[in-house]
Amino acid sequence: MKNLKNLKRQFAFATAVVLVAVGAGFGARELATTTAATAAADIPQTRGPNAEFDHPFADGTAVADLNAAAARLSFKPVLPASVGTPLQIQVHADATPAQQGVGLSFNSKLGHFIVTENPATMSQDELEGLATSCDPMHGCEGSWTVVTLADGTRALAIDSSKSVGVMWLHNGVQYDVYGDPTTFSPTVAETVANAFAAIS
Amino acid sequence: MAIVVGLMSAPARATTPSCSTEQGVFWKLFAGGYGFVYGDRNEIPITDHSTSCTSGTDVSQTAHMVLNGVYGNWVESGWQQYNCGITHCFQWFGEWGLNFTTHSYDPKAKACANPGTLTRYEVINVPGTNNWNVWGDCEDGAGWSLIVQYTGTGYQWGTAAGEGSRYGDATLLQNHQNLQWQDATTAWNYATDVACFHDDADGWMGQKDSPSHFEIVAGSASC
Repeated sequence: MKNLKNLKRQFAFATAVVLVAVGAGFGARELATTTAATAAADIPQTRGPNAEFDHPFADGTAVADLNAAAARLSFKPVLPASVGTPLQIQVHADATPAQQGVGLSFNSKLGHFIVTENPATMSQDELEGLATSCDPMHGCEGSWTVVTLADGTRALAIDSSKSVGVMWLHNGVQYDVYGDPTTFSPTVAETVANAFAAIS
Repeated sequence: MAIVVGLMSAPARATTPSCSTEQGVFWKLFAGGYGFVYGDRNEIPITDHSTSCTSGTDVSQTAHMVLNGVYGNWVESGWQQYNCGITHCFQWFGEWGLNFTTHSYDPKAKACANPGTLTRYEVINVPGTNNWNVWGDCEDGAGWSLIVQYTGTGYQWGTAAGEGSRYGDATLLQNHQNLQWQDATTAWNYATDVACFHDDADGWMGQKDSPSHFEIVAGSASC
């Protein structure tokens, strides 16, 4: 079953070209890196962790309900009735109280997807910059685009063979809705995002 | 309040995967209750893994930072074995992405990246930013070498981890040792413990050898 699920997610693996960036904070270490190109693959291979949509967090600890999660958070989490009941609600085991967030997993008529709500660690400019910095020649997979939610919020849509979703910022909280592209469409992702944005 | 530890488990083991199918074992480093951490260091020997695949990448072994603890978000550095003609070649690489989708991938040719070489890899947040430097070190006296800097990732901290992944039927036997995490003062600290958080590799599993050392071995267990 694992293999069948993985096979659905394969797509072209572009030949990569390295552009070495040199920035601050290197100390006494070697900065003169080489530029290299490799023929890493000529068969379809995706990169990154295999997608799964039941467990939002690598350090996840399940809690009984949203109230139990809220007791650990520095912000008020939201859960619109229109998206149904989560299969699982997680908080982070590793986070400090200020870093704490909540992850919700769903598998319903809307699709198989996750919603995370975490204290924002990026600016709006940085969020939108992720779209403009996506370069397929530098390994960027799928499409990274800026979309506008129903309330006018500008959001980042990431659509690939591994997930489809929408990420946005509101009142210091970062929201991310993303799901299995075989069951969850970009249109439904925006519908779910709009439902959360409307009450956040 | 009822709290249950929810580890990511994998379904029943299946048949030999195709050369396009990636499978992986991910273990996290514990930081003794510090909170999210700012850097991840793994010492990973380079090993030639047997495989029936004749093209593409065979194996990747990385220091893998789970950005903000969200499994689908990552920045990593490590080595890869790939097919080049009739033999296997080895290279360093860096990579990051969000929602399981790669944003940037940077392979780097390195003459010292050969089987039998003891190597170290780091992913380190640039203090006060959402930028990450990814490094490699062949432990040959030349010191650390920058693979790439990733800017504007949106995240400055996460859960430190180690990853071994393969395509097809490549073997995955591997040590990840001297596992360390970096705190906000840029000091390195040995992991206080290690534990599996994701395993979808058929026929391979992780085992704890010490609080700062895990090994990927043949076996059927999942997380």
